[in-house]
Amino acid sequence: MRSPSLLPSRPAAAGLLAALLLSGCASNLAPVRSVGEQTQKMSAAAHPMLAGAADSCMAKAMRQQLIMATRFDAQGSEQAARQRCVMEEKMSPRLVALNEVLIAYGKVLVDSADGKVSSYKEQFKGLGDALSGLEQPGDGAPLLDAGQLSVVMKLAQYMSTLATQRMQKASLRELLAHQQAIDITSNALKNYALNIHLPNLREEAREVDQLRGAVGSMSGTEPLAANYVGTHLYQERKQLAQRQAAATAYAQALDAMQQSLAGLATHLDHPQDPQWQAQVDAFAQRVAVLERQAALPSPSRW
Amino acid sequence: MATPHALTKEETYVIADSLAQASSLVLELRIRQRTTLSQEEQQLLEKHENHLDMLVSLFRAYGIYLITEDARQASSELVQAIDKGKARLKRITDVKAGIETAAKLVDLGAAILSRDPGALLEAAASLRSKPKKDDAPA
Repeated sequence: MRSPSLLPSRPAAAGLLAALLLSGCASNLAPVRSVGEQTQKMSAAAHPMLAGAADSCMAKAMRQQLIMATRFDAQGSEQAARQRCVMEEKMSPRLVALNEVLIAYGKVLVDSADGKVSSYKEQFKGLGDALSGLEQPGDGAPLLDAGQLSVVMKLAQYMSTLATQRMQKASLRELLAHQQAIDITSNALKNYALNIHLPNLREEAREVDQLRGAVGSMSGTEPLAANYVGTHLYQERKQLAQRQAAATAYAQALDAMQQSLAGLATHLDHPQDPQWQAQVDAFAQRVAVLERQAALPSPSRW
Repeated sequence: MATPHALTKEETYVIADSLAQASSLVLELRIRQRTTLSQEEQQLLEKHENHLDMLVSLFRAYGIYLITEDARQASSELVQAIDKGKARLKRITDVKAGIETAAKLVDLGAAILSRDPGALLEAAASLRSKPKKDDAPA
Protein backbone atom coordinates (compact mmCIF):
# COMPACT_ATOMS: atom_id res chain seq x y z
CA MET A 1 0.00 0.00 0.00
CA ARG A 2 1.00 3.61 0.11
CA SER A 3 3.95 4.64 2.19
CA PRO A 4 3.75 8.43 2.49
CA SER A 5 6.13 8.41 5.43
CA LEU A 6 8.97 7.54 3.10
CA LEU A 7 8.48 10.77 1.18
CA PRO A 8 10.54 13.68 2.38
CA SER A 9 9.48 17.24 1.80
CA ARG A 10 10.97 17.66 -1.67
CA PRO A 11 7.75 17.08 -3.60
CA ALA A 12 6.04 19.43 -1.21
CA ALA A 13 8.70 22.04 -1.92
CA ALA A 14 8.30 21.48 -5.65
CA GLY A 15 4.56 21.81 -5.28
CA LEU A 16 4.96 25.01 -3.35
CA LEU A 17 7.26 26.42 -6.00
CA ALA A 18 4.82 25.50 -8.74
CA ALA A 19 1.95 27.01 -6.77
CA LEU A 20 3.89 30.23 -6.34
CA LEU A 21 4.69 30.36 -10.04
CA LEU A 22 1.09 29.69 -10.92
CA SER A 23 -0.34 32.25 -8.58
CA GLY A 24 2.14 34.75 -10.00
CA CYS A 25 0.82 34.08 -13.50
CA ALA A 26 -2.73 34.37 -12.28
CA SER A 27 -2.28 37.81 -10.77
CA ASN A 28 -0.65 38.94 -14.02
CA LEU A 29 -4.02 38.83 -15.67
CA ALA A 30 -5.77 40.83 -12.95
CA PRO A 31 -6.02 43.97 -15.15
CA VAL A 32 -7.61 41.86 -17.89
CA ARG A 33 -10.23 40.64 -15.42
CA SER A 34 -10.77 44.22 -14.30
CA VAL A 35 -11.58 45.33 -17.87
CA GLY A 36 -14.12 42.51 -18.16
CA GLU A 37 -15.70 43.35 -14.81
CA GLN A 38 -15.93 47.08 -15.59
CA THR A 39 -17.54 46.27 -18.95
CA GLN A 40 -20.22 44.26 -17.16
CA LYS A 41 -20.79 46.98 -14.55
CA MET A 42 -21.02 49.71 -17.19
CA SER A 43 -23.56 47.78 -19.22
CA ALA A 44 -25.66 46.95 -16.16
CA ALA A 45 -25.79 50.65 -15.19
CA ALA A 46 -26.81 51.65 -18.72
CA HIS A 47 -29.60 49.10 -19.01
CA PRO A 48 -32.47 51.38 -17.82
CA MET A 49 -31.70 54.10 -20.38
CA LEU A 50 -31.63 51.53 -23.19
CA ALA A 51 -34.69 49.61 -22.03
CA GLY A 52 -36.62 52.88 -21.63
CA ALA A 53 -36.12 54.36 -25.09
CA ALA A 54 -39.76 55.48 -25.08
CA ASP A 55 -39.66 56.97 -21.55
CA SER A 56 -39.04 60.55 -22.65
CA CYS A 57 -41.72 60.36 -25.32
CA MET A 58 -44.28 59.05 -22.82
CA ALA A 59 -43.34 61.55 -20.12
CA LYS A 60 -43.55 64.47 -22.54
CA ALA A 61 -46.92 63.42 -23.87
CA MET A 62 -48.44 62.93 -20.41
CA ARG A 63 -46.97 66.11 -18.95
CA GLN A 64 -48.22 68.26 -21.81
CA GLN A 65 -51.68 66.77 -21.71
CA LEU A 66 -52.02 67.23 -17.97
CA ILE A 67 -51.02 70.86 -17.99
CA MET A 68 -51.96 72.21 -21.39
CA ALA A 69 -54.77 70.06 -22.86
CA THR A 70 -57.94 71.95 -23.65
CA ARG A 71 -59.89 68.89 -22.48
CA PHE A 72 -57.95 66.50 -20.24
CA ASP A 73 -58.92 62.85 -19.92
CA ALA A 74 -56.39 60.75 -17.95
CA GLN A 75 -57.10 57.38 -19.55
CA GLY A 76 -57.49 58.76 -23.05
CA SER A 77 -54.27 60.73 -22.68
CA GLU A 78 -52.33 57.67 -21.62
CA GLN A 79 -53.60 55.68 -24.58
CA ALA A 80 -52.74 58.52 -26.94
CA ALA A 81 -49.25 58.76 -25.44
CA ARG A 82 -48.69 55.02 -25.88
CA GLN A 83 -49.77 55.24 -29.47
CA ARG A 84 -47.45 58.14 -30.09
CA CYS A 85 -44.43 56.36 -28.60
CA VAL A 86 -45.07 52.83 -29.80
CA MET A 87 -42.28 52.78 -32.40
CA GLU A 88 -39.61 53.90 -29.93
CA GLU A 89 -40.88 51.28 -27.51
CA LYS A 90 -40.56 48.62 -30.20
CA MET A 91 -36.95 49.62 -30.92
CA SER A 92 -35.84 49.41 -27.28
CA PRO A 93 -35.19 45.62 -27.25
CA ARG A 94 -32.72 46.04 -30.12
CA LEU A 95 -30.61 48.34 -27.93
CA VAL A 96 -30.96 46.01 -24.96
CA ALA A 97 -29.75 43.11 -27.14
CA LEU A 98 -26.58 45.00 -28.13
CA ASN A 99 -25.95 45.83 -24.49
CA GLU A 100 -26.34 42.19 -23.51
CA VAL A 101 -23.68 41.21 -26.04
CA LEU A 102 -21.27 43.55 -24.24
CA ILE A 103 -22.23 42.03 -20.86
CA ALA A 104 -21.57 38.51 -22.20
CA TYR A 105 -18.26 39.64 -23.70
CA GLY A 106 -17.19 41.11 -20.37
CA LYS A 107 -18.11 37.88 -18.61
CA VAL A 108 -16.21 35.57 -20.95
CA LEU A 109 -13.21 37.91 -20.67
CA VAL A 110 -13.33 37.62 -16.86
CA ASP A 111 -13.73 33.83 -17.01
CA SER A 112 -10.89 33.42 -19.51
CA ALA A 113 -8.51 35.55 -17.45
CA ASP A 114 -9.40 33.74 -14.22
CA GLY A 115 -6.32 32.54 -12.35
CA LYS A 116 -8.04 29.22 -11.63
CA VAL A 117 -8.03 28.38 -15.33
CA SER A 118 -4.26 27.89 -15.37
CA SER A 119 -3.90 26.56 -11.82
CA TYR A 120 -3.56 22.81 -11.41
CA LYS A 121 -2.82 22.72 -7.70
CA GLU A 122 -5.63 20.35 -6.82
CA GLN A 123 -5.26 18.10 -9.83
CA PHE A 124 -1.51 17.64 -9.29
CA LYS A 125 -1.90 16.99 -5.62
CA GLY A 126 -4.00 13.97 -6.57
CA LEU A 127 -1.49 12.79 -9.14
CA GLY A 128 1.41 13.26 -6.72
CA ASP A 129 -0.39 11.29 -4.00
CA ALA A 130 -1.16 8.52 -6.45
CA LEU A 131 2.40 8.30 -7.76
CA SER A 132 3.92 8.38 -4.30
CA GLY A 133 1.67 5.46 -3.33
CA LEU A 134 3.09 3.18 -6.02
CA GLU A 135 5.10 0.27 -4.62
CA GLN A 136 7.51 -2.17 -6.14
CA PRO A 137 5.93 -5.59 -6.42
CA GLY A 138 7.15 -7.89 -3.71
CA ASP A 139 9.09 -5.78 -1.23
CA GLY A 140 6.64 -2.89 -0.90
CA ALA A 141 9.35 -0.26 -1.45
CA PRO A 142 8.16 2.89 -3.26
CA LEU A 143 8.36 2.59 -7.05
CA LEU A 144 9.60 6.17 -7.36
CA ASP A 145 11.94 7.56 -4.78
CA ALA A 146 11.39 11.10 -3.57
CA GLY A 147 13.86 12.59 -6.05
CA GLN A 148 12.36 10.78 -9.02
CA LEU A 149 8.85 11.68 -7.96
CA SER A 150 9.78 15.32 -7.67
CA VAL A 151 11.27 15.32 -11.18
CA VAL A 152 8.27 13.57 -12.68
CA MET A 153 5.84 15.95 -10.97
CA LYS A 154 7.76 19.05 -11.98
CA LEU A 155 7.85 17.96 -15.58
CA ALA A 156 4.16 17.09 -15.65
CA GLN A 157 3.23 20.39 -14.04
CA TYR A 158 5.45 22.33 -16.37
CA MET A 159 3.96 20.69 -19.44
CA SER A 160 0.36 21.17 -18.35
CA THR A 161 0.76 24.71 -17.14
CA LEU A 162 2.54 25.65 -20.29
CA ALA A 163 -0.18 24.06 -22.37
CA THR A 164 -2.97 25.71 -20.41
CA GLN A 165 -1.35 29.09 -20.23
CA ARG A 166 -0.88 28.95 -23.96
CA MET A 167 -4.51 28.00 -24.36
CA GLN A 168 -5.55 30.76 -21.98
CA LYS A 169 -3.51 33.40 -23.79
CA ALA A 170 -4.66 32.09 -27.18
CA SER A 171 -8.23 32.23 -25.96
CA LEU A 172 -7.85 35.84 -24.81
CA ARG A 173 -6.11 36.76 -28.05
CA GLU A 174 -8.99 35.27 -30.02
CA LEU A 175 -11.49 37.25 -27.96
CA LEU A 176 -9.53 40.46 -28.42
CA ALA A 177 -9.20 39.96 -32.17
CA HIS A 178 -12.72 41.31 -32.55
CA GLN A 179 -11.82 44.87 -31.70
CA GLN A 180 -13.63 46.26 -34.73
CA ALA A 181 -16.85 44.45 -33.84
CA ILE A 182 -16.56 45.77 -30.28
CA ASP A 183 -16.07 49.29 -31.61
CA ILE A 184 -19.05 49.07 -33.96
CA THR A 185 -21.33 47.62 -31.28
CA SER A 186 -20.31 50.09 -28.60
CA ASN A 187 -20.39 53.02 -31.04
CA ALA A 188 -24.00 52.11 -31.79
CA LEU A 189 -24.85 52.39 -28.10
CA LYS A 190 -22.88 55.64 -27.85
CA ASN A 191 -24.76 56.99 -30.88
CA TYR A 192 -28.03 56.22 -29.18
CA ALA A 193 -26.94 57.83 -25.91
CA LEU A 194 -25.67 61.05 -27.51
CA ASN A 195 -27.92 61.51 -30.54
CA ILE A 196 -31.26 60.15 -29.37
CA HIS A 197 -31.40 59.74 -25.59
CA LEU A 198 -29.66 63.03 -24.78
CA PRO A 199 -31.75 65.16 -27.21
CA ASN A 200 -34.89 63.49 -25.80
CA LEU A 201 -33.85 64.54 -22.29
CA ARG A 202 -32.92 68.07 -23.42
CA GLU A 203 -36.33 68.49 -25.03
CA GLU A 204 -38.02 67.21 -21.90
CA ALA A 205 -36.04 69.74 -19.87
CA ARG A 206 -36.97 72.56 -22.25
CA GLU A 207 -40.61 71.57 -22.06
CA VAL A 208 -40.54 71.41 -18.27
CA ASP A 209 -39.12 74.95 -18.21
CA GLN A 210 -41.91 76.17 -20.50
CA LEU A 211 -44.58 74.47 -18.43
CA ARG A 212 -43.16 75.85 -15.21
CA GLY A 213 -43.67 79.30 -16.67
CA ALA A 214 -47.25 78.45 -17.60
CA VAL A 215 -47.99 76.99 -14.16
CA GLY A 216 -46.43 80.02 -12.49
CA SER A 217 -48.87 82.32 -14.28
CA MET A 218 -51.78 80.26 -12.92
CA SER A 219 -50.76 80.64 -9.29
CA GLY A 220 -53.03 83.66 -8.83
CA THR A 221 -56.22 81.77 -9.71
CA GLU A 222 -55.32 78.21 -8.62
CA PRO A 223 -52.57 78.59 -5.99
CA LEU A 224 -52.78 75.08 -4.52
CA ALA A 225 -52.74 73.19 -7.83
CA ALA A 226 -50.10 75.53 -9.26
CA ASN A 227 -47.81 75.06 -6.27
CA TYR A 228 -48.22 71.30 -6.33
CA VAL A 229 -47.50 70.97 -10.06
CA GLY A 230 -44.78 73.59 -9.83
CA THR A 231 -42.96 71.60 -7.13
CA HIS A 232 -43.27 68.40 -9.13
CA LEU A 233 -41.88 70.09 -12.23
CA TYR A 234 -39.00 71.52 -10.21
CA GLN A 235 -38.04 68.02 -9.00
CA GLU A 236 -38.35 66.66 -12.52
CA ARG A 237 -36.11 69.38 -13.88
CA LYS A 238 -33.38 68.48 -11.39
CA GLN A 239 -33.70 64.81 -12.24
CA LEU A 240 -33.52 65.52 -15.96
CA ALA A 241 -30.23 67.37 -15.48
CA GLN A 242 -28.83 64.34 -13.65
CA ARG A 243 -30.06 61.94 -16.31
CA GLN A 244 -28.36 64.05 -18.99
CA ALA A 245 -25.14 63.80 -17.01
CA ALA A 246 -25.61 60.00 -16.85
CA ALA A 247 -26.00 59.79 -20.65
CA THR A 248 -22.76 61.74 -21.13
CA ALA A 249 -21.00 59.60 -18.52
CA TYR A 250 -22.14 56.47 -20.37
CA ALA A 251 -20.70 57.73 -23.67
CA GLN A 252 -17.41 58.51 -21.93
CA ALA A 253 -17.33 55.08 -20.27
CA LEU A 254 -17.86 53.43 -23.69
CA ASP A 255 -14.90 55.41 -25.07
CA ALA A 256 -12.75 54.36 -22.12
CA MET A 257 -13.78 50.73 -22.63
CA GLN A 258 -12.75 50.85 -26.30
CA GLN A 259 -9.36 52.28 -25.33
CA SER A 260 -8.81 49.69 -22.59
CA LEU A 261 -9.68 46.79 -24.89
CA ALA A 262 -7.51 48.13 -27.71
CA GLY A 263 -4.65 48.51 -25.21
CA LEU A 264 -5.27 45.01 -23.89
CA ALA A 265 -4.84 43.49 -27.33
CA THR A 266 -1.31 44.92 -27.54
CA HIS A 267 -0.39 44.43 -23.87
CA LEU A 268 -1.50 40.86 -23.30
CA ASP A 269 2.11 39.74 -22.85
CA HIS A 270 2.88 42.69 -20.55
CA PRO A 271 -0.35 43.30 -18.65
CA GLN A 272 1.51 45.25 -15.98
CA ASP A 273 2.54 48.00 -18.44
CA PRO A 274 1.93 51.28 -16.56
CA GLN A 275 0.49 53.11 -19.55
CA TRP A 276 -2.10 50.43 -20.12
CA GLN A 277 -2.78 50.18 -16.39
CA ALA A 278 -3.59 53.89 -16.48
CA GLN A 279 -6.13 53.24 -19.24
CA VAL A 280 -7.72 50.47 -17.19
CA ASP A 281 -7.88 52.76 -14.14
CA ALA A 282 -9.40 55.54 -16.25
CA PHE A 283 -12.06 53.11 -17.48
CA ALA A 284 -12.87 52.08 -13.90
CA GLN A 285 -13.20 55.74 -12.92
CA ARG A 286 -15.57 56.44 -15.82
CA VAL A 287 -17.70 53.48 -14.82
CA ALA A 288 -17.78 54.69 -11.20
CA VAL A 289 -19.02 58.12 -12.39
CA LEU A 290 -21.67 56.46 -14.56
CA GLU A 291 -22.83 54.27 -11.68
CA ARG A 292 -23.14 57.32 -9.43
CA GLN A 293 -25.10 59.26 -12.04
CA ALA A 294 -27.30 56.35 -13.02
CA ALA A 295 -28.17 55.41 -9.42
CA LEU A 296 -31.22 57.63 -9.47
CA PRO A 297 -34.87 56.97 -8.89
CA SER A 298 -36.50 56.10 -12.21
CA PRO A 299 -38.24 58.98 -14.00
CA SER A 300 -41.38 60.01 -12.19
CA ARG A 301 -44.64 59.16 -13.91
CA TRP A 302 -47.48 61.54 -14.40
CA MET B 1 -36.34 62.57 -54.43
CA ALA B 2 -35.09 60.96 -51.26
CA THR B 3 -37.25 58.20 -49.85
CA PRO B 4 -37.30 57.57 -46.08
CA HIS B 5 -35.27 54.40 -46.72
CA ALA B 6 -32.42 56.45 -48.12
CA LEU B 7 -32.11 58.51 -44.94
CA THR B 8 -28.88 58.20 -43.01
CA LYS B 9 -29.01 57.98 -39.23
CA GLU B 10 -27.41 61.44 -38.98
CA GLU B 11 -30.29 62.83 -41.09
CA THR B 12 -32.87 61.26 -38.80
CA TYR B 13 -31.21 62.98 -35.80
CA VAL B 14 -31.34 66.39 -37.51
CA ILE B 15 -34.94 65.96 -38.68
CA ALA B 16 -36.11 64.80 -35.25
CA ASP B 17 -34.30 67.71 -33.54
CA SER B 18 -35.85 70.25 -35.94
CA LEU B 19 -39.34 68.84 -35.54
CA ALA B 20 -38.91 68.89 -31.75
CA GLN B 21 -37.92 72.55 -31.95
CA ALA B 22 -41.00 73.32 -34.04
CA SER B 23 -43.21 71.51 -31.52
CA SER B 24 -41.62 73.51 -28.72
CA LEU B 25 -42.42 76.77 -30.53
CA VAL B 26 -46.07 75.73 -30.89
CA LEU B 27 -46.20 74.96 -27.16
CA GLU B 28 -44.66 78.36 -26.42
CA LEU B 29 -47.30 80.00 -28.58
CA ARG B 30 -50.10 78.12 -26.82
CA ILE B 31 -48.77 79.18 -23.43
CA ARG B 32 -48.30 82.83 -24.36
CA GLN B 33 -51.58 83.25 -26.24
CA ARG B 34 -53.55 81.12 -23.86
CA THR B 35 -55.94 83.91 -22.89
CA THR B 36 -56.25 85.51 -26.32
CA LEU B 37 -56.74 82.46 -28.58
CA SER B 38 -60.21 81.05 -29.18
CA GLN B 39 -61.05 77.52 -28.03
CA GLU B 40 -60.91 76.29 -31.67
CA GLU B 41 -57.53 77.91 -32.27
CA GLN B 42 -56.17 76.36 -29.07
CA GLN B 43 -57.38 72.93 -30.12
CA LEU B 44 -55.95 73.29 -33.60
CA LEU B 45 -52.53 74.26 -32.24
CA GLU B 46 -52.66 71.37 -29.78
CA LYS B 47 -53.38 68.99 -32.65
CA HIS B 48 -50.43 70.31 -34.64
CA GLU B 49 -48.18 70.00 -31.64
CA ASN B 50 -49.23 66.41 -31.07
CA HIS B 51 -48.64 65.66 -34.71
CA LEU B 52 -45.15 67.11 -34.59
CA ASP B 53 -44.34 65.16 -31.43
CA MET B 54 -45.48 61.96 -33.04
CA LEU B 55 -43.16 62.63 -35.98
CA VAL B 56 -40.28 63.32 -33.57
CA SER B 57 -40.85 59.93 -31.96
CA LEU B 58 -41.06 58.21 -35.35
CA PHE B 59 -37.79 59.71 -36.58
CA ARG B 60 -36.07 58.86 -33.30
CA ALA B 61 -37.35 55.29 -33.56
CA TYR B 62 -36.10 55.12 -37.16
CA GLY B 63 -32.74 56.44 -35.95
CA ILE B 64 -32.54 53.61 -33.39
CA TYR B 65 -33.45 51.14 -36.13
CA LEU B 66 -30.62 52.39 -38.37
CA ILE B 67 -28.11 52.49 -35.49
CA THR B 68 -28.86 48.94 -34.41
CA GLU B 69 -29.07 47.68 -38.00
CA ASP B 70 -25.54 48.97 -38.65
CA ALA B 71 -24.29 47.01 -35.62
CA ARG B 72 -26.15 43.79 -36.43
CA GLN B 73 -23.27 42.04 -38.21
CA ALA B 74 -20.69 43.18 -35.66
CA SER B 75 -22.77 42.00 -32.72
CA SER B 76 -23.39 38.58 -34.24
CA GLU B 77 -19.63 38.29 -34.85
CA LEU B 78 -19.16 39.01 -31.14
CA VAL B 79 -21.77 36.46 -30.13
CA GLN B 80 -19.84 33.83 -32.11
CA ALA B 81 -16.54 34.91 -30.54
CA ILE B 82 -18.12 34.65 -27.08
CA ASP B 83 -19.41 31.12 -27.81
CA LYS B 84 -15.98 30.06 -29.06
CA GLY B 85 -14.37 31.56 -25.95
CA LYS B 86 -16.70 29.52 -23.75
CA ALA B 87 -15.88 26.36 -25.74
CA ARG B 88 -12.15 26.99 -25.27
CA LEU B 89 -12.59 27.38 -21.52
CA LYS B 90 -14.39 24.05 -21.52
CA ARG B 91 -11.45 22.44 -23.32
CA ILE B 92 -9.02 23.71 -20.66
CA THR B 93 -11.28 22.22 -18.00
CA ASP B 94 -11.15 18.93 -19.91
CA VAL B 95 -7.34 18.93 -19.70
CA LYS B 96 -7.68 19.21 -15.93
CA ALA B 97 -10.14 16.34 -15.88
CA GLY B 98 -7.53 14.37 -17.85
CA ILE B 99 -4.96 14.83 -15.07
CA GLU B 100 -7.46 13.69 -12.47
CA THR B 101 -8.10 10.61 -14.56
CA ALA B 102 -4.36 9.98 -14.83
CA ALA B 103 -4.07 10.08 -11.03
CA LYS B 104 -6.85 7.52 -10.75
CA LEU B 105 -5.22 5.29 -13.34
CA VAL B 106 -2.06 5.32 -11.24
CA ASP B 107 -4.14 4.39 -8.19
CA LEU B 108 -5.64 1.54 -10.17
CA GLY B 109 -2.17 0.41 -11.28
CA ALA B 110 -0.99 0.50 -7.67
CA ALA B 111 -3.97 -1.52 -6.55
CA ILE B 112 -3.33 -4.16 -9.24
CA LEU B 113 0.33 -4.39 -8.22
CA SER B 114 -0.54 -4.70 -4.54
CA ARG B 115 -3.06 -7.48 -5.31
CA ASP B 116 -5.38 -5.95 -2.75
CA PRO B 117 -8.93 -6.69 -4.00
CA GLY B 118 -10.49 -4.01 -1.77
CA ALA B 119 -8.18 -1.27 -3.05
CA LEU B 120 -8.64 -2.54 -6.62
CA LEU B 121 -12.41 -2.26 -6.42
CA GLU B 122 -12.19 1.17 -4.80
CA ALA B 123 -9.78 2.51 -7.44
CA ALA B 124 -11.84 1.08 -10.29
CA ALA B 125 -15.03 2.56 -8.91
CA SER B 126 -13.38 5.94 -8.45
CA LEU B 127 -12.11 5.89 -12.03
CA ARG B 128 -15.54 5.05 -13.37
CA SER B 129 -17.43 7.60 -11.34
CA LYS B 130 -15.58 10.88 -11.68
CA PRO B 131 -15.01 11.68 -15.35
CA LYS B 132 -18.73 11.47 -16.08
CA LYS B 133 -19.05 15.16 -15.22
CA ASP B 134 -16.56 16.33 -17.81
CA ASP B 135 -16.81 13.63 -20.40
CA ALA B 136 -18.13 15.85 -23.17
CA PRO B 137 -15.89 15.79 -26.23
CA ALA B 138 -13.23 18.46 -26.32
